[in-house]
Amino acid sequence: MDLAAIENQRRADRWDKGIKIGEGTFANVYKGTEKATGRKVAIKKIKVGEMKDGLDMTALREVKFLQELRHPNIIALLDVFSVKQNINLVLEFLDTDLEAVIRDKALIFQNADIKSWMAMSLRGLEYIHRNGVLHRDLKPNNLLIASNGELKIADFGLAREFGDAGSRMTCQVITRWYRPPELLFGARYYSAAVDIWSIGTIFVELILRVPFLAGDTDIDQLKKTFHAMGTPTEQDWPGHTKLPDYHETPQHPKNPWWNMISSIGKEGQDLARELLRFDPLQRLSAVTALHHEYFTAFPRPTPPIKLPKPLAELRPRALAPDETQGKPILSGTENGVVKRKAESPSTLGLDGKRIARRLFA
Amino acid sequence: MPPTPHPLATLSQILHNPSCSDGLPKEIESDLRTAACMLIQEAGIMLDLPQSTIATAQVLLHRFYYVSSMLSFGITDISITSLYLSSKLCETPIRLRDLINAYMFLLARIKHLSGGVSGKGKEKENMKIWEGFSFEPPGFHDEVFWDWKDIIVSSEMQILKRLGFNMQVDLPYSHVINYCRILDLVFEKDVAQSCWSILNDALLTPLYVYHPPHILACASILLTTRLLRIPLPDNWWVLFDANHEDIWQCCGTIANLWREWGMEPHTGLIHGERRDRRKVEDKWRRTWVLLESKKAVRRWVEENDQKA
Repeated sequence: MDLAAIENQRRADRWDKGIKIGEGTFANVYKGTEKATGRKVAIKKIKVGEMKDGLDMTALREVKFLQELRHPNIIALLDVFSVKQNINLVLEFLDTDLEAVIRDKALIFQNADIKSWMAMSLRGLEYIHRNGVLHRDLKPNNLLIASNGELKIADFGLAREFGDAGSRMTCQVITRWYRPPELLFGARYYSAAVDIWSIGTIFVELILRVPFLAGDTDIDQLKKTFHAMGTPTEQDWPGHTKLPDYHETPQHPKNPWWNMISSIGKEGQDLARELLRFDPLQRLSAVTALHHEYFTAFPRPTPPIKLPKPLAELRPRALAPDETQGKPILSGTENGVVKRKAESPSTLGLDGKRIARRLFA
Repeated sequence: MPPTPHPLATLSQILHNPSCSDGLPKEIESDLRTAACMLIQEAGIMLDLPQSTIATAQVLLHRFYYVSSMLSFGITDISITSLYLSSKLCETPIRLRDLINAYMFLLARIKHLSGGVSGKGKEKENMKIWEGFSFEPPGFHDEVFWDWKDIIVSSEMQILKRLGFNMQVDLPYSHVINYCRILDLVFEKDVAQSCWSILNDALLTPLYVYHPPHILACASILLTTRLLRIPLPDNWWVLFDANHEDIWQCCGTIANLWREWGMEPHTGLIHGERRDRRKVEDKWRRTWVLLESKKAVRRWVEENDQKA
């Protein structure tokens, strides 16, 4: 056995693999523990047999970015090792995700709770952007919640560097409901502002407790967006008519949509508007958002440990169509039915698999 | 698992090079690195990949052979796989089939060339070299694609595993542009191009795993300004946290590469003995034979041991 093999074995020996808690298209997730400390971890085993052309891009991206990014609000990659032909990622074990929290009707959110979640998400995102990375798949179920209430951004399967402003990127990223209008218009050159839009929609979702802009198709997504917020003019968003997939949309009048989130207060409404600007250049950046007066205004954010958490065991739910592949489906192939979750608390049994499966699918 | 932005080879890894420990002479080991990186470079250009993808692949290959022996892992296999892996890492995806075709073309060409070339006079030689060379890409369903695919998939896992999944590669190209700007060299004719080319050439040597990118950037500027006879202030490299010893050593390694492979730029500034053409040709031929597979390398080591 040479050095590389010994090192790999040494890494593998640090962890105990427990029961399978989730199954995705290209990975299985197991509960695990660190032998030395008994700390709970999630071990994500990437299936090799299923791989068509070597290791999947999403898995590569995940390893590449999580190895570099270290922050309290980002899921920690503890180790990577291989057994035979399989790759195993050892990740922090996290109890639940923000989506489960939002859906749990038994929970009541205070404005301070929402502020706390927003602050943690933006801190994590600011760190990601500061390091020249775009997440490109922010949504409530990629924001995981640890047992102490800390929020952590996960799933870097679609992330990429954006150091080079001239590099053409795909517009088929970000789960549709959280996708900004410039991507829906097919922009190939974009920036950190795409993640900011996602955070903005998540913010509104936290207040309304239902997805803010839930389009059935890409076209419908634009329609819903403009219906809710008014169709942008050349003045609101210079140059948007020149985007590759620009098409005429029904004109909707300007709409003071922020009135429906008035419960969050004036500063909160203003933050939401600034995060959800049509023009990506006018949207706040993560760092300026953190300096927004919303975060200094009353009430103070709830300490993470005191944030509401689902009491019940996690309920299983079906994978969304665009999650089953570990990447979003292309617009041409979808049939217009978005079924993100199909759970009904009473009919499905309890298990902790769901989160892990979703997370790591 | 501490963050490792750009892992370099440790001193003991350099001293106890795995291939050399298996009996491969140092000189041959470095020839094979060079040849493998040339393959990556040529295939990368054929596939229209950006230089950053090509460079990443070459750095991965160099790193790999500091933790693995050329007697255990075929050089061509690792070369093609590094390029495939880096195309994924750099978000410049290529089709596996195109990559395999490019490599098959390059390998067929090597086979043709190592068959022996005879001829006198430069022009005649140029005409004759390619005589009788042809390459026909295999049919769409040819078995050979599956064979290559299996090799690439399993080598990919080996590379990841043996590098401990550290795939971050930090390249000196952007440093060089900034440094040139600071030194007011951007409008000097040929400087940027020459620095760029020197950095590309340096990828054929293990320099990228010996030195961090800013040292390499300084080395390319030093060598360029020497070749073009451009004066710079004394100790300018101090500005970029470099020391003379390191960058001078890099320049030496690169000049050596040019001399050994017969590819020095026509500046007339690199002195030294007129290279022996025969010697260079023998070097190429030997490298081509060993490039083929780990078996060829093993066989060579065995024969060499017997001779000794």
